[in-house]
Formats: sequence, C-alpha cells, structure tokens
Amino acid sequence: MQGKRRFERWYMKYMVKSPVLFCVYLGVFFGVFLIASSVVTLEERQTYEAKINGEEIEIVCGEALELFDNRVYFYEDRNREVFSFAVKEAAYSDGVMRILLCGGQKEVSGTITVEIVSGEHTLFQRIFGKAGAA
Amino acid sequence: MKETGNRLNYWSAIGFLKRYMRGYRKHFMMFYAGWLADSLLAVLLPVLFGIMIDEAVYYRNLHSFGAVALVFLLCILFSGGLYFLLYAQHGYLMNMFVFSIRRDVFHHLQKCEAGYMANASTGEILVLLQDYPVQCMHFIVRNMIHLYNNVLMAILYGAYLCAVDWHIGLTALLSAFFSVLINMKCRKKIGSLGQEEREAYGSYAGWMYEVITALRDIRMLRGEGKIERTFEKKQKELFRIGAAAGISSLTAQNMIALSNLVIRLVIYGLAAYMAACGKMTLGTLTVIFSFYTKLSDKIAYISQNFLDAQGRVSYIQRIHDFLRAPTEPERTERLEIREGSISFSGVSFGYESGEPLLHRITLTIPAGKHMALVGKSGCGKTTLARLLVGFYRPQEGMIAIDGQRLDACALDSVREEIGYVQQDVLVFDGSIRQNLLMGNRHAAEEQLIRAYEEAGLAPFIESLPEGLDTIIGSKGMGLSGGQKQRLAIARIYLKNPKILIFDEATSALDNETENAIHQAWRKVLTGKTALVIAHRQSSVMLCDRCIILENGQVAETGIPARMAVESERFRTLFAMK
Ligand SMILES: Nc1ncnc2c1ncn2[C@@H]1O[C@H](COP(=O)(O)OP(=O)(O)OP(=O)(O)O)[C@@H](O)[C@H]1O
Ligand SMILES: [Mg+2]
Repeated sequence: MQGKRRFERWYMKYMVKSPVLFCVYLGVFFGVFLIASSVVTLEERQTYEAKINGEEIEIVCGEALELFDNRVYFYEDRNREVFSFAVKEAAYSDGVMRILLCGGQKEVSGTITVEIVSGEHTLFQRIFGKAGAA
Repeated sequence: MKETGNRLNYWSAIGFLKRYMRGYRKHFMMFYAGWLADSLLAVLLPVLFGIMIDEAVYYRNLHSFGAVALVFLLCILFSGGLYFLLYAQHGYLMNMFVFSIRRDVFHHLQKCEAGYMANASTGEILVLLQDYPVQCMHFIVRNMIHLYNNVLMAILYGAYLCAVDWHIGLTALLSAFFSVLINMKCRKKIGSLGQEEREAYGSYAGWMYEVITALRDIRMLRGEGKIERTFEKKQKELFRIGAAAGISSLTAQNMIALSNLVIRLVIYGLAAYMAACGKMTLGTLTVIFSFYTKLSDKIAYISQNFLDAQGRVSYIQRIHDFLRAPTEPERTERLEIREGSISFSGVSFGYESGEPLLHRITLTIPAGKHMALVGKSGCGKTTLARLLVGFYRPQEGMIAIDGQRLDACALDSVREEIGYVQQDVLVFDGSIRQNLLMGNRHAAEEQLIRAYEEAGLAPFIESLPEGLDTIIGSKGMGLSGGQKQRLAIARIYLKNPKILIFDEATSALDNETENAIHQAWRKVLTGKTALVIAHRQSSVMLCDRCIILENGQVAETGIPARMAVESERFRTLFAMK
C-alpha cells in the first residue's frame, strides 16, 4: 500500500507533471530507430530483361554491370518462384553482359527477368528514399 | 439564457480555449508530440511489414527479414509504452484543464446578475458547469490534435500510394474524394438529427432535474398525473427522434459502406492486376491494401470530425456567452451606516420577462423604526426587498441609506450591512454549527449559544444528542418551517447588521411557534431599522408603522393599531370582520 502510494507520487511527479522523461522517451526512441534503421542493410537490386541458356544469362545493356556480392535472382513469374544463384563468372562485351551461374543446368529457359544485386542500402534509405519498394 | 456577443467559429473557438491552455502549454505540446509519433508509426509499420514480406517471400533473405523484424518489434514496443504515457497525460490534462474552465464558470456564476440567472434553468446551469467544460477537452483532443494528425496521415498515405504507382495513387485519391462527398451528404443528415436528439435530451434532463427537486410539492399539489403525462410525452418525443436518427443513420451507414466497398474493390482489382503482371511485389500489394483502407478510414474520420467540431463549438459558445453575461458591477465606495434610515424615492421596477411591477414608490423608514410592508400576494413585496439588497437595480428613481446612494456602493458592503431573512430560508447541507457560522464566520462558541438561545432554538438543539454538530439539510435531519426561520434569525443575530429585512414565510404556524418567533424577532430588532414583510396581522402589530402596497404603489400608510380599526384595505387584507 505504502509502496504503491510512493510509486503513484513518483509517477505523477516525473512522468506526468514534468515533460523531461516524456521527451527523453520520445528522443531515445527516435535515436534508437535512426541507429537501427541505418545499421540494418538490405540488398539493392536492379531489374533487367534477359535470356537464359543453360547456365548462362545474357543481358542486353549499355554498359558493364557491377555485381555486388556475386549473386543474382531471376524468375519467369515472380509469384510462382524466384531462383537465387551465386555467380561463377561475369563478362561484358559488345553491349551484352554474360553471367555464368554456379550449379549447372537450370529448370528454366528463354526470356526471364533478372535482378542483379548491385549494392547495399540501409533500411532508412529504403523507407524514405524508395517508399519501401525494392 | 440569452446569447451575447459574437458567434464563434472553429478558429475563434480555439482562440477562446487558448486562454485556458496557456497554463498547460508544455503538457499540451507533449501530448501533441506523443500523438504525432503515434501517427508516424502508423504509417511506418505497414511499410516495414511490406519490406519483411518481400525479403522473406521472394528472396528468402532471412537475415534481412530478421533485422527488419527487430526494428518492427522495437516500434511496436515503443508504441505500447507511448500509449501508457499518453493516457496518463490525457488524464492529467483532463483534470487540470477542465477544472480551470469549470472554476471560471463557477466564479462567474457567483457574481452573475440576479436578473440574468433568473432566466436560466437549474438544469441548464448544471450542464454548463459539468458537461460543457468536458466537451472543451474533447474538442482539443479530437477536433484539434487527432484532426491534424489524421490530415497529416492521409497526406502521407496518399503520397505513398502516388510514389508506388501514380495510377493507383490517382484512383485512390479520386475515390477518396467521392467517398467523402457521399459521407458528407449522409452524415449531415445524421448530424442534424443527432443535434436535435442532444437538444431534446438536454431539455429532458433539465426538466427531470427540476421535477425531482420539486417532487414533494408535486405530490402535495396532486400533480402526479399531469407530470406523468408530461413525462410520457417527453419520453415519446425522445423515442421518436431517437428512432428517426437511428433509421437515417443506418441507411446512411449502409450507403457509405456500399460505396466504400465498390471503390475498394476497384482499387484492389487494379493492384491485384498489377501484382499478377509482376509489376508489383506482394509486399507492396499488402502495403497498398493496408494504406488504402487507412486512407479511406482517415478521410471518413476527418469528415465526421468536422461535423462533430461544429457541435462542440456550440458548447464552447455557451460557455463563452455565459462568461460574458453581465456581472454585478464592481464599485469601490463602501456603504457606511451611521443611523440606518432608508429612503426610496420614485423607484420603478419590472422584471425583464414581465410587466412593470413597482411604480414610482416613495417611502422612508426612519432610523431605528420598524416598518411593516403588507399587500396581496404577488404585489411585489419581496421584489422591493430584493431592490434594497441590490439583487436588482431600479429602472427609475433611487434608494438611499443614510443619504448614501445605494447604486454607488459596492454590493458586498451593502450585503454586509443589511441582514435579510428570505421568505424560504436556505439550509445548507452541513452541521447546525456550520449553518450558524454562515452569519459570522468568526463567532465564538459562546456567541453561537447565545444566538440560538435568543432565537428560541435552545430547547430543540439541546434535545439533540449531537447538539450543534447535528447534520441538517438534504443529507441530514429535516427542519420544520418554524425551525428554519429561527435558524435564520440566529444567523442574523450573529451577523448583527444595522438594517434588517424579514420576509415572513407565508406558511401558517401554530400560535405557540408564532409567539416564539415573535419573541425572537423582538430581541434582534431592538435598536435597528427594519423592514418587515408581514403576512400575519400579529406580525404587523410588532411594527411602528405599516405600508400597504397595491398595484405597485403605496396605497396607504399608518400606525398598525389605528389601521386595524380605521383602514378598510387593512381589514380586508387580514380578513377582519
Ligand atoms: N425572478 C423573477 N423574474 C420574473 N418575475 C418575477 C421574479 N420574481 C417574481 N416575479 C414576479 O413578480 C411579481 C411579484 O413577485 P414578489 O415575489 O415580489 O411578490 P410578493 O409580493 O413577495 O408575493 P408573496 O406575498 O406571495 O410573497 C409576481 O407576479 C412574480 O411572478
Ligand atoms: Mg414574497
């Protein structure tokens, strides 16, 4: 009973009547959120139309593509299945980027969509720079 | 109550409330900042959720998923704590802010001119003091803070939808616009019915309050039947308005729900089509669904909020008007009584709502004399007494005490110097001691005892086991009419003013009590100027002179003993054969 009273008084004094702790609470949260969202990094991906032939992907593009982390994603229909593979080798010549994948023959062939991991960005950039879209 | 001054709109209502918010500015700012953070979180959380879905479903990137999920969790935890703090703030502000308005209203109530107060019903004043200040707080929380944050959120949601895809954004905004139109149209109808319902309920509550306080009189008057019929009529009226409001609110709600559903289906169809074509990820789709739902909710909220604001502004208006109602004038000159002669010269008066009551009354009560004032019921005797204590101001002529003009004196000094026993004595809830101390707060125990002995209350009080500390009033023991009058006399005795007004109760008393009261009168009256409004011949006989009031004029004056023999008017008035 006594303890409860004391807690009530303490609560009224520091949490209700004085704005300090309230501001600290808000401030700490925003600080932690800013730090957390700039520490968490996500892959930045670029999307291209491409052809797949066995274990080689050919992308027609104007310049050499930089491969970050040596990883690509590709799919025919994104909602059915997205494949993810490591890159064994990549070369650019005459406006065509050729990417050789690890792991031999793939189940798909023909025209596909490729997403190349081109870098990293923070969660903060993703939310405020790109409205959350990948 | 009549309306005074300008009509408030949304902004001037805020201007009016600002005065009361000033003392709690820091708290209101905290409160707003808290709700703002809450609104921003409401926008942020679906975005985070969308990112989590994309990372998990498409890229099976569990590391990123986990990291974003942690941030998500952090936000949720924060928002839980935030609500706790916000509700504590809300409670605090509610108490303090509402209290400061209520205090102002109450303070004003004390000083308000009697003429203004007489036109207001008790129920009306009760809601003015109890309910409307709370509505002011609701206005600030709902019609300011939540309104602004919701507008902000609606803008953010709309901007997000446009950023994801302008087709969807545009469709969403257009549809939101239409749904607002439909909502407004329907809600306006509901709003006006709701207003009618509130007003009907308000008047019902006021009436009920007055009936309950007068229950005993109603029973005495055998008026139960009539009151019951009125009660039924009012109930039926309430029911009718309630039903009409209910039905139109139901149809309107169905209309709104239907139109919202159609629009929502269009948006969802469009988004789903884009997702199926692979132009949009599942994560974005979830965000769009969630944002569109929220956007239309916000818009509905904002339009509803606008209508509510109108209603609340009218409550604020009432407080605003009331605080501007005329108060008793503040004057600095004090009434100083040396001998206590009273003179009315050419005094005319009529209540605002009624016809002129007193016409050019001229009379003098010499210092130390006792003047009886008699006349038919309703001829304005009590009114004359009220003029003398400054509850009302004469419309013509002037009243002077010892040659000092009454309308130049501070009213508290007038009331300090004049003792007034009203026709119906007011007994406060509390002990007899507290009731007596109303006459003189600093009276010592011996003085109290002397006072009640002189007033003839000694046998009664001494027979009570708790004596002076017996609780009387509505919560305690009831007092008889004669006891109440003697209580009032004891109070006057303690107050010991130079001038006395006795407004004798009309209710009949047995001979013994009447004698006892007359005894008490004699004791307090000695050496004082007195105006005795008498309903009994025996009371008139205690006085030096007598005035008969008729048709708002002094019809006759004379010495009571002689009038009882000679005056036809006097004999008719007291039914003397
Ligand atoms: N506050 C008021 N507002 C408007 N009219 C009032 C008010 N008080 C009294 N009246 C009216 O003024 C008239 C005179 O009232 P008043 O109380 O002075 O009569 P009275 O001579 O004291 O009667 P009684 O002998 O019954 O006490 C009455 O017709 C009454 O209805
Ligand atoms: Mg009267």
